[in-house]
Amino acid sequence: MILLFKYLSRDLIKKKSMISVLFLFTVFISFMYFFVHFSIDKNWLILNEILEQNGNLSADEAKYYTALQNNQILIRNITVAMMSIFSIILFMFMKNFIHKNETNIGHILSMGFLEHDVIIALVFATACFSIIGSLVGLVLGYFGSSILMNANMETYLINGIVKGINIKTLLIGTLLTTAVFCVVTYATGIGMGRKDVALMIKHMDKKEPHPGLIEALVSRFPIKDKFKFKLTMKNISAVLFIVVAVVTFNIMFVLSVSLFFSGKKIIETQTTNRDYSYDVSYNNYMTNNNQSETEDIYYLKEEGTIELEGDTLQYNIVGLDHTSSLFQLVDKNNKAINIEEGIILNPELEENYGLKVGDEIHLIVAGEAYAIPVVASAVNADLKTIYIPKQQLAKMLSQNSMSYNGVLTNRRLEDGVVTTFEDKIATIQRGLTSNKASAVINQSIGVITGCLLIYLALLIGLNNNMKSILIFDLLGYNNREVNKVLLNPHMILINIFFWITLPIGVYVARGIQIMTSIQTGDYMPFQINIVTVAYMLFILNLLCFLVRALFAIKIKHIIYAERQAEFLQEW
Amino acid sequence: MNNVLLEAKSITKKYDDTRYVLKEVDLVIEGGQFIAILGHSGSGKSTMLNVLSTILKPTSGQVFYKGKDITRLSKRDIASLRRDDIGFVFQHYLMLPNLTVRENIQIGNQKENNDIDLEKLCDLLGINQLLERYPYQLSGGEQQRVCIARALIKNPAILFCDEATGALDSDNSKNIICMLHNIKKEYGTTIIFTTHNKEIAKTADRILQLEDGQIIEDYMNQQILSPEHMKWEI
Repeated sequence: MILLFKYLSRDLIKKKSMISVLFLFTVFISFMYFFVHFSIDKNWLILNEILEQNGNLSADEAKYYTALQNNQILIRNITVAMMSIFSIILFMFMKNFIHKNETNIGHILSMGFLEHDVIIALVFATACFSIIGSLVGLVLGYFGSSILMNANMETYLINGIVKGINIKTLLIGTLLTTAVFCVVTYATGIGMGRKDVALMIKHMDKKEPHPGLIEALVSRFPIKDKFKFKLTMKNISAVLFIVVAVVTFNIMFVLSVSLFFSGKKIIETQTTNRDYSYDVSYNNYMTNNNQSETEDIYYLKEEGTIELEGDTLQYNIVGLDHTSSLFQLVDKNNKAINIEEGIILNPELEENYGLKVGDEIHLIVAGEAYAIPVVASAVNADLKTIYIPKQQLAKMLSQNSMSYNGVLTNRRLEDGVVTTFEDKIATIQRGLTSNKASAVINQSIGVITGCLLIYLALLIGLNNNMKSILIFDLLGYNNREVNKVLLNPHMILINIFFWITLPIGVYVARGIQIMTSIQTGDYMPFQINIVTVAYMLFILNLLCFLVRALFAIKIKHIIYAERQAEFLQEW
Repeated sequence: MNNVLLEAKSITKKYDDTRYVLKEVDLVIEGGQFIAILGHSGSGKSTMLNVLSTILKPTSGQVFYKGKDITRLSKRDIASLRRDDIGFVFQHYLMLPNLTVRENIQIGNQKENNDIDLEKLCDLLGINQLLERYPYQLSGGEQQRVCIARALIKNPAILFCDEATGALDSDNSKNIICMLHNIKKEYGTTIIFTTHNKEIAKTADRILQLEDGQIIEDYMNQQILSPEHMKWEI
């Protein structure tokens, strides 16, 4: 059994580029998980202890507590997503490994080993590989967590943020992930022994291969040289892998770019059509009968609850009776919105919860429930805020229409709590960077992962064509012709798959971002534009070009060294 | 026939539901013989060897090993049979490339108690000096001798050789055949050898000739040729 393990693990290690990429994946997954948890676990424990002892936290601590909670949700989602992707890759890699090594495995079975013995040896190799990868990730995560901790310290102005991890997290990040990958490997091997050992040794299938779906599909397209595509797509699992890789690349890239730009978008919306210097708020309701005589905007603000299907949201309800050059609500077309009877939405409710003009919102204000229709949606509404006419809100609060508890102004008022516009934006900015620091880092790793996946899928696809390439060479085709016939279709295919799966990628990425936004309670507007798509296409083709060039060099070396027969023989 | 080791009853093998490779073959093999299965390419000799040796399931029929129907054994029992009683030598050596010669031989033995000494066996096969080398450092003949050692290290009752000299030159082929005969003498191993080479068949105790999946001739060789005197003209 030891020799069997030795043989299989050495044979796995021989697949250097594949193993390196898979190893990087495990390191990335582990790193992402641990770098976040090293900066969370101990602090989460400390804050919980403070909560238990004192019953409450300071304002900064409370914000930090929420951020820690959000980061835990984020990293859980990202880890699950990354592990799912990795499991698919591992499954395909192991299937391919078993298929390519069928002769030797058949030979091993002929010596009296069981199929189970082979699978266990592969599982054991996976376990070693995964444990080493997760430990490397753990060490890197330990050091990497300092970045997130420093960001948190600067953001929340909390001293005494400490690095630490709890045992449960440690076990999940190392043993549980390893167990999952072992199960995947085990599943790959099931059914290996269904084939007769003699057929495995001869690397033969019981039935002659029949042209299938791909051939039928290619035949239907009005393209020149259909045979090129039939050869390229002859291995359905490799084609599927390319599709998976492209979809993952799309999702990761769109998500990453969107997350990166969502912060900028928020700042943009929070500064649009605002020209006031001070936001003055009062603890009590004030009255001013000359409100309409000034440029200042007098508003009423009250916290209320929006009841959605299966969800309740704490929201600010702001009553306005007019807007001015100091603050103007605008719609998607940058057209000013008039304050009229009904609710003016903010983008979060529209994007994350699907509310739209004409819908009725169930609102609880001052203990009373109201059903109010949506009359408009303002792209530059304050975060966590909806607007209704001031008179309507005053009625709900049993105040007269001249009451207010806040003013937007350019004058320095002496009474009330004054927040400058700059401070308000700085606070939003602080919240954005802190809450999304780990998300952005993780998404960057996600992008690298997507790129690695493309590299891997393309390499597998091209490797599967190695035999055909060498046969073409022996038939007298020159390098350029061979590349044209067997390598270029891959590049075309990958671009076709990119465009076909782009809507899926965008849809899924948007879904993930909305889900994360809802779970964390932070609005993250989904951002995509033509520049993003062009950028993605550029990176994708750059990767393709790179892999193609590397592969072409490899083929050239084989041909120059006249080693074609070595790669062509079945045995 | 008290010494029956292997018996095939009406074995048939077909692929794709229509392509018959073996048709209703009956066969009885006694222990301690060197049996040559002779036939042209596509005659069904390898298929017959594979069915007899448990690595290919027949479409119908039964194979008995020491009276036990081995076509109905569980996977575990088949593995145990292969582990203890059956050795294989294939045409294309099939050494595990990442293991040394010594490890390649050792992997063939999973028995706890084994009376065959590795050094002595390697001495017999002339590969003692190669034990720490890797397969890529060996010639074809050396690789095949290592494969024979791997098959024999567990002291199997039967050694199945599928065109074991098919990839070798005449000198190496002759050597291998000589060694197999020596092994039969030394350990009493039953050897079943498929070949298309009539000279090799002449050295066997019994010759089975196959054509189109059927045994057309089955006879005890009355004029056994000593392997040293084989004329290697194919």
